Amino acid sequence: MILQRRRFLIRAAGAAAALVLGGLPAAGGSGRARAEADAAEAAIRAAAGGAEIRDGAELIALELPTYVEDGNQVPLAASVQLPEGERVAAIHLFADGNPNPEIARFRFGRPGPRARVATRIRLHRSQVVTVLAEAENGRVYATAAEVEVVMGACS
Amino acid sequence: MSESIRPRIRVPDQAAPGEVVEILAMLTHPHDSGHRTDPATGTTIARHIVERFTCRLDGALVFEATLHPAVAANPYLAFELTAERGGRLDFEWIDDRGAVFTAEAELRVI
Repeated sequence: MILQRRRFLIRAAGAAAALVLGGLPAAGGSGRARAEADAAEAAIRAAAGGAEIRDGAELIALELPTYVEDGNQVPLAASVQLPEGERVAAIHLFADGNPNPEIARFRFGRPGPRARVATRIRLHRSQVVTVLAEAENGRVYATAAEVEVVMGACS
Repeated sequence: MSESIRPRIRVPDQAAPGEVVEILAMLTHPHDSGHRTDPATGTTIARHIVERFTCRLDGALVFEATLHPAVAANPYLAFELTAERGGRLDFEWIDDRGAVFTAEAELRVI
């Protein structure tokens, strides 16, 4: 089992909690990998729109294989169940190790307490995928999972 | 080859009031990322992606997707809908060359 590279650390003090890239450097530690991870973090922050990014590990089920042969067609599903009184307005997906961090954004026209979406994505190499759930009340939750990719999507 | 681009959808035949149903929508579209090289010519294959998908029930938006190159070819989307009432589901895909593809289905709530 590979270690999770991205961790969501909610700062206990201060007005703005932060999403922090934690732990280990990306595989190989190349400049490009670092740049892509930085771009992903910026994209995640932008999607959160300044809201505190809360740890969504208990609220979001991210179904993603831990190991795939082919990065061109990676199945992904995200199920969100928000606390009572909150409704899912949108789900965003991000890739830490692709040329562009954004994967997709889904919006729900009739938000409810739960939402589920499934798709297939491209991953250029082994990396971390982040899912961010946006509640109608402006709260933002996120979780992440790591995928090992044998053959990356064509580049 | 736009003639080979076509939508496929799956909607349950019927649903009970309040039932959560899964809707599947796929477009057979190359969704070329613009990062790929044609092995025959060595040139980059131009970006050609589906940018936006919407599903409406009797005109009211129920689901909307904004897609980036990291979505796989033949973009496939499955999403849930709470069947409060029946009606006509309209599906629409728009790609980055302005092409629009549509499909429709009837959701029966009994």
